[in-house]
Amino acid sequence: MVIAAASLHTHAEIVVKVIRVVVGDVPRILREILEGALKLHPDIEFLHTDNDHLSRAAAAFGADAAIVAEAAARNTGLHRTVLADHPDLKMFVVTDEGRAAHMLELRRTPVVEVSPTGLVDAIRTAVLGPHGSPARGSHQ
Amino acid sequence: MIGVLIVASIRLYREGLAFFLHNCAGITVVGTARDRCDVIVQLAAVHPAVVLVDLATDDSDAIVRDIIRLAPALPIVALGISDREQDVMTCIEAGVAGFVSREGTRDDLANAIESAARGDLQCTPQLAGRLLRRVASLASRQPAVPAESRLTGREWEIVRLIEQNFSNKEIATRLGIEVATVKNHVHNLLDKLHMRKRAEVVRWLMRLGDSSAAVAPTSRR
Repeated sequence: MVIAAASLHTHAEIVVKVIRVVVGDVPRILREILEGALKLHPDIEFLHTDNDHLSRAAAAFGADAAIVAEAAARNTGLHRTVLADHPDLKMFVVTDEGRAAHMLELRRTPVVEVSPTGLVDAIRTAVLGPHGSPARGSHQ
Repeated sequence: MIGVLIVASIRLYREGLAFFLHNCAGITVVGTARDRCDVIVQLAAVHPAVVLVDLATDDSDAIVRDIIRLAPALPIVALGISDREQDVMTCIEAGVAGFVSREGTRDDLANAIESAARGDLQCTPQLAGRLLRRVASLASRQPAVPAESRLTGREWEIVRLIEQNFSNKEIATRLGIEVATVKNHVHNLLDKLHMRKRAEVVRWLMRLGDSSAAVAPTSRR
């Protein structure tokens, strides 16, 4: 006797928003730290480019967020240039100089010291919003 | 397994480096510290084989001094050093055993830690050249050690007997030692004085003004 079993499969499609992060010129060791942290999350894609091509790369990559070094922001206003081209981009400015007061000029929300995981969470929250929906018009 | 203590005030670096090094074969992160007090506590608690200090940390120079004072044999690797020669030299003179710039890779960092643990210094040929020039410069500033201070007490005794024209056999008898031992002492003292003959020793003593009582140490053997 052959017993044929049939099961009803329910395919629930979960659409995961891929977050694209473009990273400008940051110290290499910091870039590798960021890369290591971001690579752990399959919903985040990472692209490194030099500062001169950051704005163009952000457009081509369809970036949701950008990470730039505080020194570039301070010296060249890179973050403002890129934000002028891409107003919806969430901009993150990182510094390897913990004493830099420049961070205070950039903030809308309090500047916090983040772990690599905290940075990923911050990117995700900035892009998707606190409840997972895309946030608009804010940057950290 | 090399146990590393990471010292970095910036959390992104501190935790990022810990994650980073956690995945390096042969290296394990035994602790992290964010400031000077933390370093002192952690040193006693985790007994690292190497300390990695991020130079962007507040008081990083004081932290390096603390580590050297508390654990003189513990190798320190500095992270974030600039390429400026003076910064590198300052770091080395402070007692740092290895360094990696912020443009270094994870492999550079791992290699620097492994080298430091072995007691080696990993550096470029350019840096090796700088170090040699620095050593030569420092050596030229140091006053030369007087020849007489290089001799031991026993060698001084033999010098005085050579001056009195005693043979090796006579010196051996007077000092109650073997002739072969006297020959060894004579060989060594000629070497230290950069001389080849006993007569040169006598002339050298005369140049010293025959003030042997003043120059000959009596307590060193």
